Amino acid sequence: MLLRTVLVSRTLIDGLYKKHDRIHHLALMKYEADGLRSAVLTLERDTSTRPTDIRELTRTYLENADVTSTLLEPEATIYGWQVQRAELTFEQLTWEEVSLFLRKVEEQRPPWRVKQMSLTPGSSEGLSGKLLLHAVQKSEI
Amino acid sequence: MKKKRCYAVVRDGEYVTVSLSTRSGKKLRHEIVYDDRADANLDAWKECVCIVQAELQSGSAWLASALPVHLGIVRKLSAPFPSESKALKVFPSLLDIDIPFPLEQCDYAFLQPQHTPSGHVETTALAVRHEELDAFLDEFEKLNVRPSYVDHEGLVLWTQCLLEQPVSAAGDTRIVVWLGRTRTIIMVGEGRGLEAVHSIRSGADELAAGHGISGWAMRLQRFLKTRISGDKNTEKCWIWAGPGASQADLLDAVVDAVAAEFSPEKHVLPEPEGVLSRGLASRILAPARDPFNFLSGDREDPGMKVARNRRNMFTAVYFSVCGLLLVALSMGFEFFLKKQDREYQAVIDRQYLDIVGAPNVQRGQEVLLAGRALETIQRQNKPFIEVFDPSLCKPAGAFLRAAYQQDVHIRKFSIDGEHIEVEGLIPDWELSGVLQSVVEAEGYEVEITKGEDKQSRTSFMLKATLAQKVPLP
Repeated sequence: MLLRTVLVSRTLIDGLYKKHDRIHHLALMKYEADGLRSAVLTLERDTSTRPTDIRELTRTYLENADVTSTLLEPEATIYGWQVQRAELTFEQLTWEEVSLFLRKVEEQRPPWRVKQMSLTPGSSEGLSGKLLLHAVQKSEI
Repeated sequence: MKKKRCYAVVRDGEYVTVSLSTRSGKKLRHEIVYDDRADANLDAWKECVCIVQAELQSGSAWLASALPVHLGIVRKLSAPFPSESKALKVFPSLLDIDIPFPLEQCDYAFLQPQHTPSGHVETTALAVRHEELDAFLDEFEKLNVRPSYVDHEGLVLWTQCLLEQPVSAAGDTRIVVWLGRTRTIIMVGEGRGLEAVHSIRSGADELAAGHGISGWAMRLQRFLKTRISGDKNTEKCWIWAGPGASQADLLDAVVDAVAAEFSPEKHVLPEPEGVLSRGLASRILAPARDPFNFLSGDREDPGMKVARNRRNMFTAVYFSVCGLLLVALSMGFEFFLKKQDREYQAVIDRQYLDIVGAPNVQRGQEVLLAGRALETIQRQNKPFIEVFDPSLCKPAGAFLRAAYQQDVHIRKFSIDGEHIEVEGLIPDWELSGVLQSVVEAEGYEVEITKGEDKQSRTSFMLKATLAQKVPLP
């Protein structure tokens, strides 16, 4: 009886040590997962669930500019959400005009975010370039 | 077995002495209950027997007596090898050779073996024939009492003398003479060891009457001569005890009688008439002693059997309770561990559910599966995390403003979440350090490469990689 108890206890104690380690690892993972999910929760709380149309924003903030905007195919992400993508090409804009436009689109709710930007000097004083913008939005179910 | 009262019955011819010894702590108190011929005062004797019997039946006292020396045999045995266990095996054979009747007819025992300087093992053997012991017990039956212990007179007297008069030197010869009313016992030994015991059937009553002192002395001297050297210069310690030793005239007479050969001292123990009674009681009641008892097997005192059975029962119950406690403790500990295990598993299940969003189905694989789930969460939630990343406009603007101030011609500029790549012409190569420090200040690791000189400017290529992503707010 005692020998059995000693053997069983030893097995149980070894198991408890392993489970203690597992709890520690899972706690760290849970902390990270909670952090990742908190970003979604923050956006969930926003009242507007779709970003403002990029063409409308272009018209508003880059009036009379030579800008071409193209909406790309949305990308799937977590359930109920998708990533809206837009590509903008422009000619003869100053950096001040570009940065003002980008500040305005990033202030939207949900915001557009610059994923890629490439600039080259234009034929005169302005810049030519291409922008890739992303915004998360709720899917239409 | 730890009774605190003991009656000692000493028979000396027709005389019977009954004394009661009581232990209080480490001290023993002795009192004489009866001391006369058994038939001299019948009322007093009957009263004494009633008291003793009542105490024996209630189990509150022992009754001890000593086997007279002339009924028993004392032998010094020596085994010629140092192993005590082997010696104990051969002692019965040695005793069988040494006594004049078969060992099977005797009750016998050996005292604690001692190692000698020569590498031998010695012991003192005590033996009594069955019929002699039965006759001795029959005498007690006639007195209506039955002893619990029957010790050996010689052994009792010797050990009590050692207790009351410790040996001065280890190798000194000691002679103890117990002068009883009807007999005399003489013991000889070296240091603490008893060597030989002898009994003479003449005692104080006969010697005090002036009869047979010379014969008594002759028998005593004959015994002593066979045991010890007669040299007067040899150190010898004489001790006198017994009822006769309290009579000064008698003691002078007997000492004078043996003076021609041995010149004995007249060292008398205090209260010499009670030495044997005190010895019997102290061997039983003193906590450190292990009394010797001729009564064993069929002759064992029923009270002793009851006490032993009670002790055995107590031991059995004690160990049973200890065993049960151990079992209960081990079961309790096992239960506690299992409960702890369940609680740990509940925490793991809850954490797993929180991470994965589904119940745990593969116990032991939680960390692996949760890790995979976390990778998926990281991949899927990346666009949401990036919403809170710093805008790319900040490093781009910082670089472009610095470039404008240093009159740098940019030919190509590109930036994404991880990298910045710039190609251009710089008026002075030393200004490249300014550009590098501006980009590094935005958290990038910068590598800037010098190119060819063109139109008084130097071409360059800057590649920067984000060193560390800014953590989540």
